Amino acid sequence: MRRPTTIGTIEPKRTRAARVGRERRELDRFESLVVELSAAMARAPADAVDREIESWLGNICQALGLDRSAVYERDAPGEPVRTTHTWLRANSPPFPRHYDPGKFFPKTADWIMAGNHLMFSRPSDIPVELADVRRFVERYGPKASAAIPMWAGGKVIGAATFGKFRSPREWSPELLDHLALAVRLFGSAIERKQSVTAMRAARAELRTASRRNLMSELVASLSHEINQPLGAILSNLGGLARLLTKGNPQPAMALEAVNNAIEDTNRAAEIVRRIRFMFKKHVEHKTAIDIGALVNEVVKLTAGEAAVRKISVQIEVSPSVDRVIGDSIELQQCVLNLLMNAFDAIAEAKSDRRGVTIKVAPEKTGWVGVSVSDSGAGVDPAVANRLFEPFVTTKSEGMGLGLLVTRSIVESHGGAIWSTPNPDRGATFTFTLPVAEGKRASASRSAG
Amino acid sequence: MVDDDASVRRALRTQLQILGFNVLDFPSAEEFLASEFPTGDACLLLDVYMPGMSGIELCRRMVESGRRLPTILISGRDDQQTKKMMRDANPVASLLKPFDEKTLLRAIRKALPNQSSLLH
Repeated sequence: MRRPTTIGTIEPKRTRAARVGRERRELDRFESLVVELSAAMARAPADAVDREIESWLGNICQALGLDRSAVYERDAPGEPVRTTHTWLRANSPPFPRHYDPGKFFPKTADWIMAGNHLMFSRPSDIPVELADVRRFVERYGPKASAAIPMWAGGKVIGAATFGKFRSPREWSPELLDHLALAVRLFGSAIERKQSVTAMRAARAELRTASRRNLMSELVASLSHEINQPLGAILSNLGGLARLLTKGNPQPAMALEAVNNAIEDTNRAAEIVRRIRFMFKKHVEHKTAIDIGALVNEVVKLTAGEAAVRKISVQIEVSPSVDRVIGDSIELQQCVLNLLMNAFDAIAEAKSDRRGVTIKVAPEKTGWVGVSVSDSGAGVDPAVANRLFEPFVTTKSEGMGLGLLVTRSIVESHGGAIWSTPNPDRGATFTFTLPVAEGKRASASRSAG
Repeated sequence: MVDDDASVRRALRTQLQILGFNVLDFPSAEEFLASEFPTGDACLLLDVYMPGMSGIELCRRMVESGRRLPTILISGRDDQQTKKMMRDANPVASLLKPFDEKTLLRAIRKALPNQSSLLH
């Protein structure tokens, strides 16, 4: 590291004392600025990191009387060095705003990216071996500059430069230490932003894949539903046409074929109506939800149905359950679907034990599980792993879409759904939902 | 004929009777297996997707037990997976619902070559 130098000037004693005093005050101010910067970087959410860095480059330049500052990033050794953040004082001499340091001074760029500092108080200070940056400085005219490698996670991920165009300036070792700390803070904020971005991209990709899969299953399922009555209509009309060609020898049969076709057409229309209802456009609105209260609400809604079917419904909400993040209408539909499935399972099994238990409890860290257990006949192991596919159903009635819709809602909330056989009888369906951060469901805690 | 959908069963039964066939129909593969097998010239019209035992599984069981009937598979789905399943079951013909009389007769003709004089 080069010591500040005043070679070539003779400084009167009084002037020197005044300069030292000025530098001391500037250093103290800068030190508290870096403390503020540190707090701001720690607070900044990933989305705000870039904006924060640019505004702090400005703050640093203002505090030190500099004219231009920039942050450069390099994704990996061998990759180009990119200008990612800049601050330029108004009315500064023209400077290539997004220039490529690797092209203008490849040797010096490599040298800095290898972890070396470069600073000069006047262009003549630049070491002769770094001729490329010397030419650049002579052309674009910064009078003084400090280039500091940016470390994060044990490696150099870029660099930051701080330049003055109007006049030379000194860089004391203490000042350089503070600048290096500021650059390190930028580095760790950038690294944090990158890992959040990468995680988000991975998550979005997963979601799209599962949704695409779900959509194709849905389309196949709906076409199957519609093709059933269409096939029946075609058979009935085919038979009728055949009878009429023969001079209608069996009028009763012809009438039956016509009546069948009418009934099948109505059934097709009913399927279309149900599909439309099921996928009615609903603007998703996610909030923090007390899932225990939501379950209570759905159970109340179905109390009439439960009474008619002579089924008792128990609710157990764990006192330590947090609020979840979700769309309350969609989640009501999930609980309702599973509850109605449980009712049907009990009805089909003609079981004498007619009970459903809904449990709400923490599931892993950051998740809440909602499970619905019935005392029905249980799930046939042959279809257990296909239950969430369309029109796989163990019921004599129904389209086999309820669990598919439930799965689609749960997955759009980031959760999962599965079924397990009960040790005694029946099955348990469980789905998970993410906890709303920082919010506790105090209502369900007191209801416990 | 084996199909879990009552209206499909009813319609196909009516159509086939009008065409002059004797029709026995079953709402599930299990009920079909438990029944007396038809004798003489007969073929099986078999739905692929049914709750409980699927049409594909029924084909497999029949091959295993050596009880053979020329089989026409019918399905309301035509996705890749279903098509492959149907091909692998090696039926006489595969029909996608909805199908017209001509298509149905062509399949039955393949299944019952000796009765082709009946059908036109």
